[in-house]
Amino acid sequence: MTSAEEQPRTILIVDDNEQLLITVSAALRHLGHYRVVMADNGVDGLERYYECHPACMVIDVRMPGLDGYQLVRALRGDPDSATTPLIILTAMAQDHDRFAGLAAGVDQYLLKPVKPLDLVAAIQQAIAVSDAERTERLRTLAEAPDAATEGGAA
Amino acid sequence: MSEVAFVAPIEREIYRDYDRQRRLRLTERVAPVFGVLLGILFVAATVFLLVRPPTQQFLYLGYEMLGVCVTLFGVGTFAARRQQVNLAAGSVAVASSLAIITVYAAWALTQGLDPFILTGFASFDLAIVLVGILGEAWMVIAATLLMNIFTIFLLFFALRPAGLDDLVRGQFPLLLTQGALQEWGFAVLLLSVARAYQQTLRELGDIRIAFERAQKLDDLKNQFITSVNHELRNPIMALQGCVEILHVAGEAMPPQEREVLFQQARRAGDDLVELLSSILDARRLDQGADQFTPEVVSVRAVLESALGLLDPREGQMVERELHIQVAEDARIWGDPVRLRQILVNLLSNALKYSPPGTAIEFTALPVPESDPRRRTRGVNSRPQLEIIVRDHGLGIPPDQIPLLFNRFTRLPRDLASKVTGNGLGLHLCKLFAQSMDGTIWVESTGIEGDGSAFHLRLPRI
Repeated sequence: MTSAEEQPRTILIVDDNEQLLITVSAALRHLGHYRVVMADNGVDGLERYYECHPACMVIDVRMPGLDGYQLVRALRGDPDSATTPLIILTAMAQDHDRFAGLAAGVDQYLLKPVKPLDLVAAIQQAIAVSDAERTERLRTLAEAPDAATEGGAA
Repeated sequence: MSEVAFVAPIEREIYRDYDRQRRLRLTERVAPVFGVLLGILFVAATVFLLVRPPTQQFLYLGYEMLGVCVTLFGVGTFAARRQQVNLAAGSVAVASSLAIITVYAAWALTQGLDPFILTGFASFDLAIVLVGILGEAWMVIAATLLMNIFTIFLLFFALRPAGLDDLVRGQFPLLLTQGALQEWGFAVLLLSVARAYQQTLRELGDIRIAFERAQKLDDLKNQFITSVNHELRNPIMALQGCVEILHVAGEAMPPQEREVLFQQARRAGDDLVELLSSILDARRLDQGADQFTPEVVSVRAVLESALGLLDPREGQMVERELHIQVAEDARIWGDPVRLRQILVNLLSNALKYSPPGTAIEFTALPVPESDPRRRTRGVNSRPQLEIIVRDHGLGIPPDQIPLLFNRFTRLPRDLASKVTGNGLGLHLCKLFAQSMDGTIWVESTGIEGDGSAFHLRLPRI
């Protein structure tokens, strides 16, 4: 689906559920016309990031090894990835999970199930936020008291 | 919920332990004190025998008996410290009865049946009380009978000093009745107290167990809700997602990719149905509403159909070696559907929790008559068949084994891994096995590579 004038953007999906990887990747390729790279755990996700420098990442929370929040923190800690759009896509439904996700510095916290078009929209929205804007938002978050502490169920 | 109100006999074992602890603590305190008191008497007797050596030889025997009793109190003290409650209580009971009998026998055979002896009847009661507090019911009855016999012995065989002879003779029936009745009075009192105590203990214990169980169930339920929530959201998203992608972009897609999405949608639907039906199965079996008529079941046939049902996606089954050893006449008395469900569960767990390439062993052999577990497992003495499913995977940490067959249990490491499950599989296995009069348990060292072995015993034909 490469358009003539522009290379498709790369989206990196990190989820340990194979079904989800297949579905989300199909949604992004066919509905969003993105190029998709997949990883099935946090460590792999981190490695893939440095290989493909994606335009946006979609990250699950509960994964073996490095979990989603740890991955987000690792990415935010590195200047290279500090302003990469990050979206958490998880089945963890409780409020404190959501708070912990946002506090960790992600752009969006999406609760499964998410319809493919909604996911594509969320990615577009996240990509549209400028780096400067994101940096400002993260700075505000960091100043909020105790915001970046552990999520309850991680 | 009926499960909460019912307290299994095995759980009541705790009460026996409470009572053991109580007796142990009492013995620990009483034995040394009584030992010291008797030791003082023993020293006095030593001095007495040295200063005025008696002519009657049996007094030396009595003296030696006192020495034995002091030693026995020592044994009791020591045993109590080493938590050996029966040895401790038994030694103290024997020592005190024997010491009292020795002292009074010595007196009766040298001084005669005088007021000292008659008031001494109270000491016999003391021995009974002591045994009643420290020992079990049979010990109380034995001690009372012993004291009865000794009372009768005293009244018949003790010397009767001239002045007292008439008195004793005149009141003989009264003395006998009073002595014996008083002893039984104490015995009955003590037995009743012990019984009432046990009952109270049991009532309080039942409440405590029910409470703890309810609490645990609540925890498990929360864990289950979280787990099911997680397990539901993934297939729903896959199902919904695939359908929507196909709807929006299906026509423009290469047919191969369309097929993949159809397969995904179908698989997600299957997963949802499986999740729902295992929740319902567990619920139905919990309520005991699911009856079946037992029949002769061939293990081999059931194994074959179970292998056909295994999900080929799990654990790269193609790469596995499966060693099967099934006895020629391996048939059980039960329900083929339930047996199949157990086997599917155990085999798919073995696949899920052991790395690709490692072998899985399946054996179904009769349990030898001499097997010790046969008795301890409490299943009656009918011949049994034992099915073992062994893998060489992660194993199960020993401290997590007791929880394994509970409803909604998932090991902490599974929650953080990609192994899927709803925490119901093994619970269902247990319920199915029990419904067929069988037992199921697991043996594992928890060392990675040693794997685990699930044992299932069922009535054999």
